[in-house]
Amino acid sequence: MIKVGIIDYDCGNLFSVHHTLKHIGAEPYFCKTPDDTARADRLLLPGVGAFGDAISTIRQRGLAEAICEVAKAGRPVMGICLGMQLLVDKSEEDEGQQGLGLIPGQIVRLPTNAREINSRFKIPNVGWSHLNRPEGIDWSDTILKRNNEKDFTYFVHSYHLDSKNSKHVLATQKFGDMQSPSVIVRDNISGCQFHPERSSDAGLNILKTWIEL
Amino acid sequence: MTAIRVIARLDIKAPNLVKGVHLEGLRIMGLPSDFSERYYVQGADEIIYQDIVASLYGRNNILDLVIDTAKNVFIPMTIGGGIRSVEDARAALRAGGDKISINTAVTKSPELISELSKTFGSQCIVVTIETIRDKDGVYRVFTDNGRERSNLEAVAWAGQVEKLGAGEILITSVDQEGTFKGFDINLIRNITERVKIPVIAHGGAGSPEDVVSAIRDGNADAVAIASILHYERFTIKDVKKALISAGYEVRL
Repeated sequence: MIKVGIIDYDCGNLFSVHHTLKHIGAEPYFCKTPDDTARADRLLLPGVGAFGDAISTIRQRGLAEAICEVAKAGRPVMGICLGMQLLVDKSEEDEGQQGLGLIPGQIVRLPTNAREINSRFKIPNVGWSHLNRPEGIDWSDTILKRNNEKDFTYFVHSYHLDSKNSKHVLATQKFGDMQSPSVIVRDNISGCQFHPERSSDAGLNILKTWIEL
Repeated sequence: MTAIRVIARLDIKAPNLVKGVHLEGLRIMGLPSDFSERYYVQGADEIIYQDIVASLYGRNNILDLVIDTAKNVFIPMTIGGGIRSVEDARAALRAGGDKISINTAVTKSPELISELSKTFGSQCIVVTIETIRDKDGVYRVFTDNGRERSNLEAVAWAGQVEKLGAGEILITSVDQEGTFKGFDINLIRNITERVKIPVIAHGGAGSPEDVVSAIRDGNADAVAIASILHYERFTIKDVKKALISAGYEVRL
């Protein structure tokens, strides 16, 4: 069975991630120390909370280096929601802190002016959106190979990846008049802005594909 | 584009799902996990477990039910009832909840909203506002599952909880709750005009058309429905079909 180390930095919905991984046939366990990550076939960085607090806890526990080592060794690492945001270089949410830098990019606040375009675009952005495939992007052989553009996934966030200069966007969601990155991938590193563990069959399919990588 | 959410709300008196009228006169409906799984399959966008006796711990507590449900239901779960501290919230999340909802404790200590949203992120914090319309037309905030009257006025309180860091507001009309008579649209509109965060309308849905009205006329972002589902008058799918006919995007 595939051992998935879930990085435990006292964030919110750790356990719903655990329940879901178990359901799809993986063997999830929590990693509180760098040693815990050694036996992981892959790592999952969940996320609910605030960028600054999260990254400082991860560093204090020595988990930042451990995650980067697993990544360097070529084992798959996936970040979910805030966990995805922690994978990139930095975030507007806390400018004094650096992210893990595994995928180039910057996290910025969702644009508030989207509200003027349609009053239903609110912050935090809470709810289900379509997986959109950017032009020229092929999903076969990616974590989205079981998915299609009719799929909905569940978002709850106030910040997102600034897609300018990003070559790593595999899928987007429509937010106001813009396309906001919803799945990013760079080699063995991937991130979902939405919560695949709470996105019904569409999300279960992504996680199933990911544990087969 | 974020779809309109149809949320199944389950009032829990552990180990059972219960349902009342005006939050009173509770009738035992069955096992919460059976109902949740049914609504999950029907296409519910979220599940809310509201512990109406506010017993987070001890024998027959709601958290065991959350653990059971989260094993088979892969949509967001919000847990409420009896959360009085950061530690209580953490316990609800550790059981498998994705968000927590709070009411009574924060009317007494509003700063708890900031503390919770700083710890878990505002997106994790749903503030429930239960209200009864006074004779003078003022919406009064009630706590303790509609039993205790407070001095707060619902619309002003909504503005305050938003400032304190709430991620969403669930607005319950106790007057309409369990009656099948439709939502209090005036109330919902007052709240959605006041705040910029998502608003979940709750209390009174008797038909899919009532839900359409809460979205179209009340401008709600989501609805929480209970009786019409529990008594099998309509399914989640019936409600979503009505929303689609009215021109809204939903997840099917």
